[in-house]
Amino acid sequence: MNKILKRMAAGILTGALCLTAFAGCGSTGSGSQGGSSADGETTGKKFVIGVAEAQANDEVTTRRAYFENFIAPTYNVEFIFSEVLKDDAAVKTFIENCIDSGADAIIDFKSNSSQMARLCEENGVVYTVQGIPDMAPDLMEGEFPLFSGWSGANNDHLADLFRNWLEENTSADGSEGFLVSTSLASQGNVQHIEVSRAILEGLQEKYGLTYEQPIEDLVYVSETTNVANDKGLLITLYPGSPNKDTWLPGISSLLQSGKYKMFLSSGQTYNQTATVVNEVEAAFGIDIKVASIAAFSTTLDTAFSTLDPNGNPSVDFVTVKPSSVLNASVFAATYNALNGVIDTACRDENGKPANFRFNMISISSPEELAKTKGWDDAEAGTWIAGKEFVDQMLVTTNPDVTAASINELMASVDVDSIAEMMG
Amino acid sequence: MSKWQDFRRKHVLLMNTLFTVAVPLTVWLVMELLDYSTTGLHTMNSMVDWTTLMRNLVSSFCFALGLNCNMALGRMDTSTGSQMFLACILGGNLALSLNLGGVGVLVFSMLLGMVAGAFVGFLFINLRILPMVLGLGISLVYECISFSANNQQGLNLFGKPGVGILSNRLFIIGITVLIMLVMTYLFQYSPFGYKRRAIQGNQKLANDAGINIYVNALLCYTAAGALVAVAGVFDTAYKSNLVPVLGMNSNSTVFSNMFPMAVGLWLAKKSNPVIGILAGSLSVQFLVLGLAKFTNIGMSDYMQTCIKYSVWLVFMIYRMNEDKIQLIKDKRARVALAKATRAQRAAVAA
Repeated sequence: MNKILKRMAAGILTGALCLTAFAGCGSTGSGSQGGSSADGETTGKKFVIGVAEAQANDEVTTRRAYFENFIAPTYNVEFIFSEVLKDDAAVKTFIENCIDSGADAIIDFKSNSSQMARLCEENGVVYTVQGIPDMAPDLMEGEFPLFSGWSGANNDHLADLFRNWLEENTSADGSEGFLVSTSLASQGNVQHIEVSRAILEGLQEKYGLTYEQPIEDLVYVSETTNVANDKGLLITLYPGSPNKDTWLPGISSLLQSGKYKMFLSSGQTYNQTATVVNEVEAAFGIDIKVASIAAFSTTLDTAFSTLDPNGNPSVDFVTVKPSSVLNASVFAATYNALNGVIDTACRDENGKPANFRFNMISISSPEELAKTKGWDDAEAGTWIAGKEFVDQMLVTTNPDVTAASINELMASVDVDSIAEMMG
Repeated sequence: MSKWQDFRRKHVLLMNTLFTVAVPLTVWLVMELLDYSTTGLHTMNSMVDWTTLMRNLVSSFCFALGLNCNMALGRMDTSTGSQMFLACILGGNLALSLNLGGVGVLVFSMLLGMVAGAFVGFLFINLRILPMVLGLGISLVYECISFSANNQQGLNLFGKPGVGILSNRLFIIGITVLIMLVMTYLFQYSPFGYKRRAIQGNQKLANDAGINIYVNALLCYTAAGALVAVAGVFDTAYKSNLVPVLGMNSNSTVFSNMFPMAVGLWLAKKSNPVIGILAGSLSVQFLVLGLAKFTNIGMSDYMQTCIKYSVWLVFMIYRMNEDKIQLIKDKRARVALAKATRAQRAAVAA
């Protein structure tokens, strides 16, 4: 009896172990599997696209829902999603697994690397990344005919958002002190690099600062660093991962010094730091303003509806990624490349891989948040980048599409235009 | 016998108490000196630090105690981290959906933790797979379940009604005392505890003596599940949310809590495992909070983590060589005694 039980349990566990090992490789449907399709065929076959993810948060959940529930059935594609990929080695393994599973393309939200592009190139697979070209010069300069380009936040626009908010919410002399969490920028996280840079540029423009070190170097610091500047403003960069035991006590310790009244985060950390910020505010009787990155979610609703000891929302300002717009652009670049128009729809005027930019949305009050209700709502399936929007980006529905026209469309997305689109 | 030795012999309880208290006190003192001399800040700088200390202490204490439930009997359960994630995410969200507040989150998480732990125990006693190997397999399964539960959102306690109690200092002290009392009774004075210690001494002899070692193992796993769930709830109260992980990342929680457990078991030789582990956890928390103050002079959290685990390494090296040090001490004592005896005899002969 025991032996039978043992064998049964061993079988179940072994099966569970195998399933777990491939848990990150779940796909949306059984659809047909095909070989490389970057040869220009538009046979109506189902393309298989691998999606490499770096995080597991609201944004990723929303993206998955967008790809699985909207893009996949609408455009007859199939997605293979990764689990959280910690480093380039994990991305490489994921891509190899996707290739073995017959993937036609890879959308990479983790790396921005010529190594991955080369791997895809060798296997005839289209490669698209989220990021900016500055972070991957070798990818920009190299010969990668199947690399369809980058999609990322419009950094200038993001810096404008931060600058405008800082303009209205900071003192004229900047004496309140700024604590900037650079999160995983030092480890090459593209989003954190972009936002850290935007914050530093925003502060630079607001106060007319000259930093002693270039911003490109500052965003990569791996130690807590006071940014030396000509006006002597206190700007402290705090890198690190919220997953580490020592990260949150470090934030708490810095805030308790009473030198910082502004906490600006390049990552989506407003939720993790909320308790610590509230406790410091209550204990020291100070008001710390919090600005962070966010995604439309119940977490964000809670943050704006929960008041701190000073009667303000626990987060004062967030820049929200219109997730579906980013996802639509990476999908469009990939899909157009798979449909054989990589040279027109995925290349800039110099023939280089295209650099697609989208604008972030800023929210600084519960009232503004209320206006965005229903935007990129995964449960309701209401997407900013709906069918009409995506159709304008795809060669199959808009044969005249070019990289420039996609970028024009993306640039037109702002709060007003979204409100109009969403009715 | 010297006066000091005589005093020690007569005041065993006092000496044992001093030994147990001395370690956390020394860690605090060292960190205080280092913090104040380098950053101008105290290790415990404000009430915020005290709240943080208490919340993290109860979390670390419960987790280390949970590990000790099985570790002392030679079973290293590497799935405790994933049990914590599973119990808190499922139990916590269930309690929140029923508007039961912080106490509900704690109770439901504990119940789910007991179920999760008991299931691992059930598998262990039936399959007899090496506990560590079984733990790794179970980790992957539990992680996947907690990752897919609640739409991958984990457990979010910030801004939820009634969860503020989890950061209330009196409540934390109350829970800590309650856990200490229950676990002291369970480990030291209950039939389960007697049997557990008999098994700890020699499993085969215990079995031959009629102790049901399987039931005992099942109870140990169940208790461990409940304890790590409590740890998870207080950890979430501090970090506002518990983000689910995959790929055996939950094991990092297990290994990071082995430090307080190791220190605690060392201290337990002069008290009992519950008090020892509490003192060990307190020592580690003083170290972590003290190191956090160095952030003000530019030390990154990576460096702090590096120092923390280097201290652990040094401690383990000491632990591994403690007998050698004792051997040298004993040898010196023997030599001294021999010399004294020889001198005494020589004096008598003269």
